[in-house]
Amino acid sequence: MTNERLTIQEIEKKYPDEWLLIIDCEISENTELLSGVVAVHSKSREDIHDALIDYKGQVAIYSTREIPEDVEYIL
Amino acid sequence: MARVRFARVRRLIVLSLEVGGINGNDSDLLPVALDTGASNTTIPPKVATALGYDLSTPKQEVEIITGGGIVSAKIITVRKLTALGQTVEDIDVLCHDLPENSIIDGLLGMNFLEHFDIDISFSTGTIELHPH
Repeated sequence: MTNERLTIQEIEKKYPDEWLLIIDCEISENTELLSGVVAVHSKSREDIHDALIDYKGQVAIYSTREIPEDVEYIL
Repeated sequence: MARVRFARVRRLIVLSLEVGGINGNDSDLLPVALDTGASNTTIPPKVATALGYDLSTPKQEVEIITGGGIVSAKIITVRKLTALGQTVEDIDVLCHDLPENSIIDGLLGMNFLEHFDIDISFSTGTIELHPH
């Protein structure tokens, strides 16, 4: 962890195709994540869920992954 | 009234959902899909546990029908959910993991959305919420 505060646009550029645990979050009044400090990053969402227990306060889970072209969602 | 921009990831409407912890200090923000086809809002079980909720004594255990078949899941009541700038307190959530390769971590379902009138503009990429 670098303690470097990044905007969400900077985070997306620096950590492509990953799951992220972000702390020290700046959140808009409309509940949008604006910036924060990346505490954990991984290709696996499970790693992020496992790390959650170590972080208290306001934290955010964020995905920079993209949906593969051959995948469709039926929710 | 709140007007909020949303991200369209392919044809999903992806939003941030803030789940309030069992004490007033903790919360987790998750990427979720707005899903009018989901009766309940859904969050991962490990998120609920990290926020202090006890999944061993759920409010209810239910069977849910997914694309992959029928599975068992637990319903708990969380202190509050906030999305699109609006908060609903003491609201049920379904604790269930979406598939690992998903790009979202949960679903914003009808039990949250039904508290509002909602206008979705795909041309401007915005949602307006009007509390009843």
